[in-house]
Amino acid sequence: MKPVTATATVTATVTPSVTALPLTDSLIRVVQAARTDSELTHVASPEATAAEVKASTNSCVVHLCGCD
Amino acid sequence: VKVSKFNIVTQYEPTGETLLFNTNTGALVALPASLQRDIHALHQESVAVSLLPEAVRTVLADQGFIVDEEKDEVAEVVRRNQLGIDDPNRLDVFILPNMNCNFACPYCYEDHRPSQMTDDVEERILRWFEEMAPRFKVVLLSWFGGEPLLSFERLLSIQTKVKQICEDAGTTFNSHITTNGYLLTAARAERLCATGLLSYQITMDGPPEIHNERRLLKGPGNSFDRVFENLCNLARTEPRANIKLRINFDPDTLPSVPVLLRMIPEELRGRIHVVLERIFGQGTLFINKTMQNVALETEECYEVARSLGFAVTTTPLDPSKLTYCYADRVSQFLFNHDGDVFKCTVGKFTPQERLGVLDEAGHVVWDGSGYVDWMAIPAIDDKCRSCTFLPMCMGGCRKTRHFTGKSGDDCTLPFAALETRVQLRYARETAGASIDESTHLTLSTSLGGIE
Repeated sequence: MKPVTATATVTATVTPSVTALPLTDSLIRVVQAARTDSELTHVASPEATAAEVKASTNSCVVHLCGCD
Repeated sequence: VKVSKFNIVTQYEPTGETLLFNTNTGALVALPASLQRDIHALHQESVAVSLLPEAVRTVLADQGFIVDEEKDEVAEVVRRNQLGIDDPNRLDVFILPNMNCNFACPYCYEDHRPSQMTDDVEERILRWFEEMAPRFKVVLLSWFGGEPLLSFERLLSIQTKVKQICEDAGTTFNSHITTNGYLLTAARAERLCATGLLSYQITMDGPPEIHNERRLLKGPGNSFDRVFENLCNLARTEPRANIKLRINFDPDTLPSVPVLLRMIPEELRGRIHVVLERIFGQGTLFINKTMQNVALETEECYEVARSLGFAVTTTPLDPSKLTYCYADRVSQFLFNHDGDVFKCTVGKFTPQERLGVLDEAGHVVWDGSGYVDWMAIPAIDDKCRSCTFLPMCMGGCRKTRHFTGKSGDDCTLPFAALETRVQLRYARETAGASIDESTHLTLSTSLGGIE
């Protein structure tokens, strides 16, 4: 997970075409930024380091099923 | 452009903001109340994307909530899943050094019998590792059973030797054990940690009156006190250990989970990850509760755990999982104590169910087409292709599909409370690092108290 917090200030003027959908506030808060496909697949790529691969196994050793 | 098929839209009542979460990118944004109608209209296709203010469109496009018209989002997920299945970097190995147990949990699916791995099977496994380990960047060795600590010396022997094989091969070694914790004394834990075994999953199903009913010893006496002591000792004395406290629950036991959590000394809680898991194969017990309620109550338990200072291990609120399960991976193997080879850790591990066997030379010899058939099962079927949760799920249980030809009926259960999780995530973000119990309870007003 990439816990990014950022804000984007929307300064757009409301156009007549969306007057039925009024825009009066101006803050869109990006709580968690999008991860790209290459970021998500990096760990399975040739470029991934052993440390990165090991870190990914640390987060997935939980058994999802079974009664252990 | 078009609206992503993986958007989740939910209202955040405390501020009136609209939260948008995308299961394919993990993006989470909060939009002002003034945009609520825009966003809902957009997802009901009653307003075109082009009618949104450009600045809003830009943010939504940057975060993957709107995508190019020609983009095939499902194909992207399928491709990502295949990279996980074919992952050349890691070798996942489960070893079951016995199929015996000192517990007789009523919900267990295994058939336990006296059994131990022989020297011969150990040698075959080590030969196999010598050949395989150099091909990978990381070896992940997971101990399972039966109860693996009933084979303590065998476990130590293989663990030590595989670690050495990996070091000689320049391969990073990581290992994990799933144990009932009864035999994990301080002395044994010290020896295990010395071999690099630093990840532990220990199961406790509730406070003593619950745990002792569900986690029965085969002999006389109760298991709670000793497992609890071993868990706390491990957290207290082994700072390198990654400790997961697994709590198997059903509708009757879920309300008692916070009681167990409060019994654990405060100073140890930050060392322990809480994992809640519905008891496997007992879906009918939930007949009087909707999946949504089960999911919400589970989330409520996790929030209590967080508020008490525990780490929480749950499905991440992002699409970082490349496969549904380790058993999807090509380079994943399970070795039973007798040398039989399987993929899934859920089974009775009979010779009839095996996919192959380790031969004298340490090579896996597959029986017939079992392995090929297993890997040929499509990871993502038609039902999944229209599911909003696909990027976070990656297709569901391969074994279920193998035997039934379809995903389970309750396959969306892990995501039944996703909107609530999104809201809680946002609440934590806006409230600071933690959220207190009163805050989260206001988000789950439809639920009765669980304590």
